Amino acid sequence: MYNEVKNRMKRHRVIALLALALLMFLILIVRFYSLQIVNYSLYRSEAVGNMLNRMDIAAPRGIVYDRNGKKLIYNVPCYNIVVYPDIIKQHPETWQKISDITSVPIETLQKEMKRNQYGSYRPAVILRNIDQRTNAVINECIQNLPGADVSFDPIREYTDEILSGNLLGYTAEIRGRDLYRYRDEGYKLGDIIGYDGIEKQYESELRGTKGYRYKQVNASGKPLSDKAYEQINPIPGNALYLTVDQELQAYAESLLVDYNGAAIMMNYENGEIITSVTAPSYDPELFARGLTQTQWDSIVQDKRIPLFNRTIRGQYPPGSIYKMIAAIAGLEKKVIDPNVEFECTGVFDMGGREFKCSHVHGMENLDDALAHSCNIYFYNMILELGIDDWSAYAKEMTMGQLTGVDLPGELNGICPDRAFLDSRYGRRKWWQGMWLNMVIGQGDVLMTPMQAVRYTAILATRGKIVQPHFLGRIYNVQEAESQKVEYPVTHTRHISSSTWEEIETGMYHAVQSSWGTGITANVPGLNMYGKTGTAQNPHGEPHAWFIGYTKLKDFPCAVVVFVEHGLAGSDIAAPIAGKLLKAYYYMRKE
Amino acid sequence: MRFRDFFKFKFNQIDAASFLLVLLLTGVGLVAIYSATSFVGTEANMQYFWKQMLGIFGGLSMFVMLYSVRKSFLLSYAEVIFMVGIGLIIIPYILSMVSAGTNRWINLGAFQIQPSEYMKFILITMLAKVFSESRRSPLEPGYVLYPLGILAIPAALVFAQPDLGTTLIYIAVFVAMLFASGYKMYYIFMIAAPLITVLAAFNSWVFLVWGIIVAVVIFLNNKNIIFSVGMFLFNILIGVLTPYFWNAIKPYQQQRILTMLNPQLDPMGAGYQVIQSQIAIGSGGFHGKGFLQGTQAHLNFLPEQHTDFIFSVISEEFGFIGITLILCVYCFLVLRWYRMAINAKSTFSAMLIIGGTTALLAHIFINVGMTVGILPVTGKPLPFISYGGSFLMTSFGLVGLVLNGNAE
Repeated sequence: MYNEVKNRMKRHRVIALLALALLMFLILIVRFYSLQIVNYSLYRSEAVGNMLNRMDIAAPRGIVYDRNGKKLIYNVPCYNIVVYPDIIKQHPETWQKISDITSVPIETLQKEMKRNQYGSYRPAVILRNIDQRTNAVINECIQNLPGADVSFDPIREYTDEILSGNLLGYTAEIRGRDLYRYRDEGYKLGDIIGYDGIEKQYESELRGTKGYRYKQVNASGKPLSDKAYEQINPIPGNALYLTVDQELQAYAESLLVDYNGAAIMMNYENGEIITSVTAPSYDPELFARGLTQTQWDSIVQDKRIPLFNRTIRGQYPPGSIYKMIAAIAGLEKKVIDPNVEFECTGVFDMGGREFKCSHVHGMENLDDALAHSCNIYFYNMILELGIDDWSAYAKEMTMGQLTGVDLPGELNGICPDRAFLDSRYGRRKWWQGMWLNMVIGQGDVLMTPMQAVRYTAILATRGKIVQPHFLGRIYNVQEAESQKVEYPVTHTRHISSSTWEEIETGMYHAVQSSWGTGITANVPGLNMYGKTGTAQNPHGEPHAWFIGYTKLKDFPCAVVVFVEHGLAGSDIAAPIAGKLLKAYYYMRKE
Repeated sequence: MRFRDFFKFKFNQIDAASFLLVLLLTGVGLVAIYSATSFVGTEANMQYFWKQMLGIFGGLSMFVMLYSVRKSFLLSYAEVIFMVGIGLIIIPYILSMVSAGTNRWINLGAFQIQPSEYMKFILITMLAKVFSESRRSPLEPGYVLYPLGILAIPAALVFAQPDLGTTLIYIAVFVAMLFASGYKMYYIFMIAAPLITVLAAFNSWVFLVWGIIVAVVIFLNNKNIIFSVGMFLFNILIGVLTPYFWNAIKPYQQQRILTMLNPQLDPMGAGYQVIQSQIAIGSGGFHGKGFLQGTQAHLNFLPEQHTDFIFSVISEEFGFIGITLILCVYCFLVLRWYRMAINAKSTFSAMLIIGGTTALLAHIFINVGMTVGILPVTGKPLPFISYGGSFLMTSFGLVGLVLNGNAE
């Protein structure tokens, strides 16, 4: 039986256990203190982050206006059919009903859901941009379509007055490789981004800032109610006021409709581009709405290459419009005198090769040579001048350099010099005969129409170098603030006014005198100056060029017209330039 | 033999304060379980609440049984009960050879028995007897051998199940009773040293420092050079072998230990539970989010929230104030019970008290330490509060044993 044995327990040992237990509870309480008091805000925000699911609200993209405040690009609502994957899974009959309403096969719709699905509780778009009627039908029977809904996004609308896809650009869902490239700027799958033209160039201004809608969710991500827990509204993108004039743009498009070419009008005092047309162009709206395969094929396979912006990426031999450079260099270097005459016999023989002129001009001084566009005068001159001085002045006139125009993808042409010839053909493998071609703007010389318009502006202002641009001012919708954009203005090195006068006389006579090649461009009363160019090229008929400007105080306008394979500049390019200037001038007067 | 030889109902001697506070904790548990099993967007689910009520009655009957069982009976039949207990632990092993499944439970149709739970009472009783009746002096090193053998059998079986948490609780109970019985500290150190060596072996600097401590302690306490050097080399050997043993244990156990050290290692796996638990606790702040207002709990972010992580639910909804109050109640009880050991009438009673209290304290510390992320996720519930009838019976039974030791 049980014997009462005396308690042999060591008292101090039990007290030690007591102390140890106390210590353990203290450790726990300190730990709770650290979690709940010291790090409270950290864990609180984590708990909030856990229970709230963030959904983006797209920011309305900035609106683009022309110089007169006409809308060129704006937003309209676009209705999409969306489905909730978790709900529609339980109601498969909804698929058939949607298919009946939209007459799109079920398989296509389901494939779209898979493609756009992002978790089972977030709506996935299955059909974009449905028409009004479908929208009405869906809304009417939405009760019978469990798991389906209609969402709307703003979509880009481009004015129907002009095509100008190359200038305005277009928007589209961000493509895979761009998503990777721009991920630091917060782009996500399905976001809209600007491609090409103004939409791309000013993406950061137009984009705006996304808003967010927070919904309360459980651990598996299922929203607990439709109501937003918290909402941060998006900030709309900035509006842009361009310097172009929509009506003139449309007019220029109509003038070039039969040609591949470009036409640019620019205020030569400040660089504002009034009109910039490349022909042919494309309708950006097609891209914004999502191209069908056949539409895409027809654009890509078009032999006229509508996606190619000839104004900034088309590099062409400039032909005779380049002759002013040799004239300036010759006069400044005192190689020629305005009164020196060379005889044009129609043919220039050098090293057994014949270099031709368009006519037999007889004895020509500089004024005559510019007005008649006589090649032989310049052949003689370049041989006396040499290539180094000539190319130095060409560079001074910004040839071979980007204009810095605010469009993506500008190319810089070629301004050949001795080093260029050495590297292209090898040292001493080229001969002086090449100079003869280059001095009249052929051979290796290449220029874009945008470079040509700046060149014209330099001639018109006697050396002022402006930066051609499209963006006039930025309007911040949030702050209701308008900000004018400033552009740099520089100047060529000193060129004497007597030289400028000689050049101007030649360009004046080229347009104004009855024997001038650019007479077809002349608009009485505009005090026009100009030069035609007819550039031989290996691809076919010569390219037609015309550059010109008005010398009126209140109408400082430079114009460039270029027509690919347009034969003589005087026949095609010059009349278009005249019509454009005339239209602009009279429109301003109204 | 009559019933009266086995049991004596001595309810007049019951420690009312302990009993009422235990009932209070059980009430807190009911409230917390109600909260932990209501989810936003679903019907209120009272099923767990009522099952827990049933479990409380089971616990109370276990309490009555272990409170009323005569100590004389326990002393006389300790070995028999111990053998039966060991047999019960082995049964699931045999069953698992016949049919696939875990080898922790014995399935009796309507309910299941987990023999390793009952082994807690049995081990405490057996060790209490061994320590109180030992003919050796606690100043002899050999004093530990027999009790160590008693511990080793169930501990090894449970560890092999594998149930690391329960094994740790057996060991804690043993160490506390050994310590309280007055075994020489130096010997305890010599037993514990190899275990600490294992932990120290994961870091060469810690291992170096620990090696020096071992050498100094051995040198100061023992004049026998050969024995000292032998013990020292034994420790070093264990340290060197540890990496091999580490590679031998199950990856999920390795994982638990590693994510304990850094929960961020595996944020969607084992670490997920700890991270979500810490978020729940931390976001409760000073006064909590209020009853049924915990977002972590009610939006289902917390794992096992009505069982292992019930304390996280309470922390989230009742904050630092609520938690401190509950921990104070636990602390008060544990200290009160340990103190009872000092005034117990016999060594056997005192040992029952020490064993029962230590088992409860170990459960509390392992569970709460797990929810706050300072101990590994061993999946041990919290006494009196966590959902689960089986464990309520264990907890109440341990209290019964403790109060039995305290009573006449």
